[in-house]
Amino acid sequence: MTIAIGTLYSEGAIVCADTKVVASDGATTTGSKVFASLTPKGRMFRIADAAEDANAAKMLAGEISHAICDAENPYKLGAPIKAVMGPWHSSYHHVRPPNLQFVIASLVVGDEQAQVFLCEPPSTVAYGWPIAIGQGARAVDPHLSILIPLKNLNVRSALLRLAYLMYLAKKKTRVLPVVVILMLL
Amino acid sequence: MISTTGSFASIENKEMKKAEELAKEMDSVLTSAIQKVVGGPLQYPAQMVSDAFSAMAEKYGKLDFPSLRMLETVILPKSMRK
Repeated sequence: MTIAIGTLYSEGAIVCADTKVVASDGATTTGSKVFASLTPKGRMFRIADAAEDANAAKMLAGEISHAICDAENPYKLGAPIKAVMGPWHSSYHHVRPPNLQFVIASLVVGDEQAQVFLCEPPSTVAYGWPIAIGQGARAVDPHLSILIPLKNLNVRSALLRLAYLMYLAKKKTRVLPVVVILMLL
Repeated sequence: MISTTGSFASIENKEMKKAEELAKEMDSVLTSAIQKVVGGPLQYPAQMVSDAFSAMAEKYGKLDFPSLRMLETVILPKSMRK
């Protein structure tokens, strides 16, 4: 199960993800899937992924990060992100590209509010919050409203609510072992 | 997390784990409360439900995220702020 959630709180934005890292051969390890970027112009970003190929996600997250750091307008990041995701997706030619999704939090220091958006190759960039991605998203989608409204939602309270959602995602997407009993007559 | 004042923090795994353990307890209290409330008027021990939520509120109140203190440090020099 993979999941990442992005949301705003009264003074910024939070992005969180589980720590299950899936390699292209299906092997799993644990590690962080949240990356941070900041620029000399006072722009800050957090990117988290939910992916079936961790290396591909890491590489594309790095390219997206460069693209949004260099973007002319920090409030219109759709075009620079699509310009990176499109070629990445097309590079697979006859092979199906791995499923990757990103949730990105972005802000310019001094602004009143941050932005959160979902990205999925080749060309989906959807603004809005809260956002959940990955296999665990289905389980938490009906509960995302606990992160709204934003007023008075301080960082600690937002974290506790996110912890509750992460718990729900893990609980509801747990694969139960199937026990088969053969009765020999 | 990133803050509009120009700071950011990463919460350590063990801190989130504690919060998720508490979330599991909260889920159990919620489930139990629903079962009691919809069980019928005679089965609704209001005080018991209220006590369970008070106990959870107390536990949540005590939960600390030491990593959040990183948010108090503004990492961008003044010249770089908007």
